[in-house]
Amino acid sequence: MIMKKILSVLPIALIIIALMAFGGETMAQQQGETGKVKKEVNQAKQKGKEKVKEAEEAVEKEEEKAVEAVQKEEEKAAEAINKEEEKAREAMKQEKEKVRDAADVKEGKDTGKGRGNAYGRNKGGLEGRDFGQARAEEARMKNQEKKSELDKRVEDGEQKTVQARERIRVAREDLEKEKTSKKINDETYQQKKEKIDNAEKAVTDLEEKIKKGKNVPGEI
Amino acid sequence: MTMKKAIIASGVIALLLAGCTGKAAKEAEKARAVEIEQLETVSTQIDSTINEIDEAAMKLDTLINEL
Repeated sequence: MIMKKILSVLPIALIIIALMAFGGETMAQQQGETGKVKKEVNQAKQKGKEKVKEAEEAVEKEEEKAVEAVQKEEEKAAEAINKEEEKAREAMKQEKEKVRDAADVKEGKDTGKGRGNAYGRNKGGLEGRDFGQARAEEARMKNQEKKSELDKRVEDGEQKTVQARERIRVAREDLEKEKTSKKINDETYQQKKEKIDNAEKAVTDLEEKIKKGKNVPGEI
Repeated sequence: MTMKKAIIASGVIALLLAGCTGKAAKEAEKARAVEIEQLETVSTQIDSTINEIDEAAMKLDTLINEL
């Protein structure tokens, strides 16, 4: 009797055990698969983030370049304006001198121009000692003007060297990064490096000239 | 007699003074000429330095723009 009961229950138990085993396996498989999918999704997310970062860096670089270009253009424009102003001032001076000379000629005065630099002769209504003093004063004034012009050039040059050094530093860093990330080949690297080296030499050259300009005696 | 001597003495003094003044004036003129020459030399030197700075700055601009 008992044996019969056991025999009737046994297949059902076996079926249940088999089902449970199969279910466990499929669950494990499913879990394994979802884990893989999650990993893949995470990797894709990371890749996406990296790409976004790279794109942002590229955009930042482009922005920096654009800002630099604008600054350069502004500097050039300012320099051009200064030069034009200087030219205009010089032209005004010359015109004034011409007008003064013409007036002197009308009044019968001798302007002393085109007569050389001989001493003791009658020059612009001045004679001997007075003429010498006037000429010395003129030379002093001219010297001072030149000196202030030189000082301005030295100051501008110093600013330029500082900006250039910074630009060179950035260019060198970018180049090394490009080389490390293998974005450029050896030939391109060498070409760019040569350009940077040449620019550095030019900066040194300008610095030497500036140093020379600073050593020019101002007063005698 | 005394008058004569006084006139001669004043004449000599006047001549000496004139000579000294002339000499001093010549010396001053010479010194001024030297000063003017030096100033002109320095001006020329400054001009050439300005030109050198301008050239170097222009060259640097060109090379920096190429970077």
